[in-house]
Amino acid sequence: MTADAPTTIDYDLLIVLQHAPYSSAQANEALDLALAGGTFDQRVALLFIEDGVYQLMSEQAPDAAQQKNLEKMLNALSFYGVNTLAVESHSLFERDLHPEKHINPKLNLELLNAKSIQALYDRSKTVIRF
Amino acid sequence: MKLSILVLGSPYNSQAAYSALRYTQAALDSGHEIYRVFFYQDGVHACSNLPAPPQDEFNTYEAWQTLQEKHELDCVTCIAAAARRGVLNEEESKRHNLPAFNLATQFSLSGLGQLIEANAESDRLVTFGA
Repeated sequence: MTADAPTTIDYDLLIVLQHAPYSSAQANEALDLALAGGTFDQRVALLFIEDGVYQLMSEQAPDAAQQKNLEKMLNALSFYGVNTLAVESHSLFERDLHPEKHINPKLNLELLNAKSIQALYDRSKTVIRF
Repeated sequence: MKLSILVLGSPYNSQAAYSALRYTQAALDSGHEIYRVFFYQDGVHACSNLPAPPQDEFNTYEAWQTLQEKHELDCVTCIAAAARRGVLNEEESKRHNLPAFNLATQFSLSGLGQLIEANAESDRLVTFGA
């Protein structure tokens, strides 16, 4: 909310993903919304925080658990014009995840600290958390 | 102000559908316009016409149906999220070859594009999460 301090709005929609990928439909339905936003030429940004950072891991193999591979949906985002993927650095650190070792190399991720995340919120018209 | 409402949580598992109902009512009472109410994720359960809560409990389902009728609200239920959770209208039920349907007639099934459009057209999209 920036009622008294107008900030440039760079994103129509910021989707915050905070849950692990396969324990619920959260990630799947959040990415569906991101793809829909891209389809309708909306400016969409994604922010991965807390257990949501597990969605970014490379070599996901959910077939054994009869789940759809979310990595493919993530890789498809850029074809829909969704190119802003941000991740909270501290969430990676807390989980001992290292971008060069554990994270899907096809994704062009921005590592953000708390202050930059606040700025991203300010630059977004709407925030929806999944 | 032109507002749209997003309901993500189901009755009984969360307060989302109830809080969204109260908020929508209050916004209308204060002279705001409700552009659209969109039900996504577990929020789609609020759109069923089969729940029969005990007489001495508040009936969130019926209250939404009444509010929609009173103000002719554009209440849209995500077709994919609803199909996953067994909330279907007659047409979808036939299409999936299923024995029954339960979407209350006050709601219409459509895609995520309706949510994206509501966000673009409204001053604010207010989310009621799970």
